[in-house]
Amino acid sequence: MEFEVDTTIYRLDALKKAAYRLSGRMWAELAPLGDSRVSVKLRAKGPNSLSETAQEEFCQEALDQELREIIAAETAPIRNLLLAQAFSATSLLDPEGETADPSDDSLGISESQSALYQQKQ
Amino acid sequence: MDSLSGGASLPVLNHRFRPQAEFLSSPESRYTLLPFRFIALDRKRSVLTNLAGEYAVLPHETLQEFVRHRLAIHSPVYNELKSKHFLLDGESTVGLDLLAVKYRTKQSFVSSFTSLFMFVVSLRCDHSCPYCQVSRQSTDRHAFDMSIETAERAIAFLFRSPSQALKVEFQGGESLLNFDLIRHIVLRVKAQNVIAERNVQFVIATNLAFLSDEILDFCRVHDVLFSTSLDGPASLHNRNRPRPGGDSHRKAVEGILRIRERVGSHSVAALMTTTEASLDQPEAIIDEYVAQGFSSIFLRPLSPYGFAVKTGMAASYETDRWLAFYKRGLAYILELNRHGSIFAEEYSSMILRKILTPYPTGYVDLQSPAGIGISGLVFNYDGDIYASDESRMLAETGDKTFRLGNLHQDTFESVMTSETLLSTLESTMTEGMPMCSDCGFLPYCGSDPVYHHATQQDQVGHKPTSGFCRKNMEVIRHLLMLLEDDPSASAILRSWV
Repeated sequence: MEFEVDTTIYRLDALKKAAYRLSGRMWAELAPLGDSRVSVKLRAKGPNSLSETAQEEFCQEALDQELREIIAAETAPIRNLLLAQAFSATSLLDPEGETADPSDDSLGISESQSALYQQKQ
Repeated sequence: MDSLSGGASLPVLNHRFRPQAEFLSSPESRYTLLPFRFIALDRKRSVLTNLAGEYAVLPHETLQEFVRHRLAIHSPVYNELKSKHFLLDGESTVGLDLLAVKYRTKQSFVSSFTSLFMFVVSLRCDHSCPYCQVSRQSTDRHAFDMSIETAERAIAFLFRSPSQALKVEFQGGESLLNFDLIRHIVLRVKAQNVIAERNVQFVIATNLAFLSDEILDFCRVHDVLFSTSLDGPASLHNRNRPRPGGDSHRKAVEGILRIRERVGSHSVAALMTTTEASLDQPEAIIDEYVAQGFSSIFLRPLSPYGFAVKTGMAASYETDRWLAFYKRGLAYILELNRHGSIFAEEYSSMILRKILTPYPTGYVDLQSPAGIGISGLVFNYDGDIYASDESRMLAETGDKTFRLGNLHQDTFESVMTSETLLSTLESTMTEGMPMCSDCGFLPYCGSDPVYHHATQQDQVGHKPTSGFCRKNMEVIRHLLMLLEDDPSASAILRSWV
């Protein structure tokens, strides 16, 4: 089974991950064609023939992988910050609030909300 | 008040007093995604899991809406995702702080380091179980018994671990065939612990055939616990565990009763091994555990190591058949609970603990980095040090890949920093393995390089065809579906955590 996909819809990493995830049942050969097109050839693995829904299955898996790529890209900076914060001996998120002397009240916690409000006015 | 309604904000509680318009549904909701993974639960729903293992179940379409920032900010699903640390809004970093703390808690097992030390005091055994990888039928004590000198080196080695909690487990063969050495080790460890001040626990893994009053009294005085094998009702147990006289089940059951009477009612635990003959009778096996007064059972798969591989048993033992056995057994256990019996399944309990709490389980097969070496170590009778019990079973077939050293030649430092151990741990962390790194079940699963080396000749393994992956994915999916779709099962499962 052979078909083409558009890499503006599925990035190449998503296609590769989809191919790996389905590799227990089918071989997927990817070949870039230029103009944002990639050729996908699917072959059955083992004695059974390729399912008629193999293309649909591959594209659905690629869509899921594309979504994972979007999430990973958007959350990478926060993930790195979280991991650094989790295993750091010092606070990276709020160094002043967590390391200052409580009696200094650097966040103004002891002051009432109304006093702060009036002060702003 | 005019200034408030006009949008002026208080300095600290400003979120509460934002203009009304900000709370209305917006096509471009202003929230930030926090790191998460997802996987299909069924045809209609996805499971989302964050770094700390909190989960949410959403229809596939809602997941798409969420990722594309189209969730209405006042919707229940938005609030659920916010409270479970899947998104962040406003200027607060409290959510990030909490998430970091929960993640650190989840990984706390790494800092506690190696706490389980298994002493193989003898390979001699009176049983000839076809699934056993290591036992020897020998009358030569010296050929397969651990020596005192080796034991002394093992004791010195275990106290080098920084772990505050130390568990010393005596394994075989049949460990009670070398009880003199067990007694020596217990007394020596306790003497040294007067200075070391660790929390030490002793467990003897035994078939109970050689239990004596002398052994029981020693164990009562020194707080030594027992772990035994109980494979099911007598017919199944004796078939799985042949010994001269064919009375393995009777010996085990009598031994359990004697321990409870003479040492303590909670001083003995039992483990079952699943075989081909077990697969069609989970109910009978569970009934046997209930009848013998146990409050839980661990429905274990057959290990793919050692003699089991040689005899071809593991080959015919398919993961799917075990999964059917597990699901049938779990359904039966839930039914027992519905009728008033308090009884749990241990593997489910450990996974539920990972799903429902931020705490690690301590179970070596459900952690990343893998538990080999850094959670437990095996001292073989001949002084060889293995990364896990499975590693020494593999060694019995001639594959010593996971042999980390020998007590007579190597130090704690050289073993724990050996290339064999460190490179394996590094290359098999689930966070970096193909397919695992994107899997929504990652926080609940683990890494098992020894299993993948044994079954696929590759420590990382090919996950689409891995029995370990298939087993854990199906068990986790099954438990999540029960939690979501079956209120009475959910209440029982939550009580096991």
